[in-house]
Amino acid sequence: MPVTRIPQTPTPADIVCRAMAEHEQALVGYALGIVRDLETARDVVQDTFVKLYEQTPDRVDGPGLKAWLFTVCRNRSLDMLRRRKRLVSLEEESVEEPVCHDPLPDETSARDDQASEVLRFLKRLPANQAEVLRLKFQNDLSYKEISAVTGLSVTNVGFLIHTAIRRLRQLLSHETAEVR
Amino acid sequence: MSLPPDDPDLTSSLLGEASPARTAAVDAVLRRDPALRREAAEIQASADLLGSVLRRHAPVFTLTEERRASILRGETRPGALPETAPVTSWQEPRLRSVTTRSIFLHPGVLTGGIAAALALGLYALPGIRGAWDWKDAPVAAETLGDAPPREGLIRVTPGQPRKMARNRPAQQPAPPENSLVPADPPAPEVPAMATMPPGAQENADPSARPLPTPPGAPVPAGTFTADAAPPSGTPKKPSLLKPEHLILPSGIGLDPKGPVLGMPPPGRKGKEARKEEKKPEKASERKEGQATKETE
Repeated sequence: MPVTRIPQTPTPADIVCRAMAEHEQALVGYALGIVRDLETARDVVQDTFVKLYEQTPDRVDGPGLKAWLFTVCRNRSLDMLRRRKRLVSLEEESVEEPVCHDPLPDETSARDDQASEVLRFLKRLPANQAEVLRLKFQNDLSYKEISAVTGLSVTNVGFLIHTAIRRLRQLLSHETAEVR
Repeated sequence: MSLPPDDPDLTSSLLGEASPARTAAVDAVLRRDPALRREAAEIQASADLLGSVLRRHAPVFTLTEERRASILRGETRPGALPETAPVTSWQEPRLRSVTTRSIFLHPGVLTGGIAAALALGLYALPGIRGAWDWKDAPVAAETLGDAPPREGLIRVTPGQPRKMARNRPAQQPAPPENSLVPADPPAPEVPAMATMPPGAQENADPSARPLPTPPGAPVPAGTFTADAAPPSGTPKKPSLLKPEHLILPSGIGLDPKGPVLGMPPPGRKGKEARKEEKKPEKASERKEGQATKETE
């Protein structure tokens, strides 16, 4: 007699385990790009997964999980930034450059010149252009997912990516012309 | 169809983000335009380079085991911030976050606010102005009685306008010479006063109770006094108000040449003028005294 298996609804712990295995590293890197502090970025990602744990399974288990995680991660990172700015303004301290406890890999492991140039030029781009470029080429989010994460329209995301690529091309060509 | 080289659709179709119809249209243009093909090739090369560099140099940081265990227990991190930024679900349409600013910028709220401000201006301000008018009455009333009035105040009898002119000299035109008080509509209620003559309350008709004018003084048009004839049609009533009912600071109102009511009390300038007037008198007295001594 054939045994029919009833598909079980995944528990929150299952969903969180799977999400951590797939997106933990990308989320920490994305949060680190915003808050510029590794422990703060880890706090942000921990809060993000705890929020995922609190969601009902049927609501979060789906193809949009990645965009949801990046959205929550981005909002928490911005909250952290606001809080840090408040603390600094309350203590009337000079705003220091956020320090990462571990050296950033894009500074230490940049071996070839072209890659280091690309990373250097990426820092010269406006923040919104650099963010959509990282979401697109580093985290493989689609225009629609980037739109959901950042709150921009899909057209605006396409325009930002197009403009950023053209700008990088100009910077790279200008650099090579100067070297020659 | 033509496609400029800086069209974002070119990049989106190369990255596989455009719709199939749009991608087919862009491909058709690329087959016809070699310059655009070169541009597309450069964009594709830049995107490939960017993707390879960013993936290769992506941060490799992960959570610690302690944090992972805490997450799987569903524990909120101690010191975690309350959520303030809006969190949207990918299964629901993005809800526009309602902020205080957006609420106040709503056209209905704006219209209501303007209407409320207008209503306040139309109805509340006259009441406030009336309350300010009433502020004068207690000041005048408290000076009534046996005690002499304070400097700058007058004692008011029934029927006399209760508005004190000291607070608004600019509103009242300068009264004609020899007149005491400008004709002003009386207040509906006048508290009982100590100096009110007997029987005056019963006959109190404010419109027919003007202030006395010295005989022979010109009467301005539009006002009538106890001695002047009232306007045609109104019977002349005997005046119950006498000059002694008015208790005024020295030199106010009674002297035709002196300052009139409604003007500030004599100040330093008036005192100096009076001193100058008295000086020749004293000098003449001194001369007379010396002359009498000499004769003696």
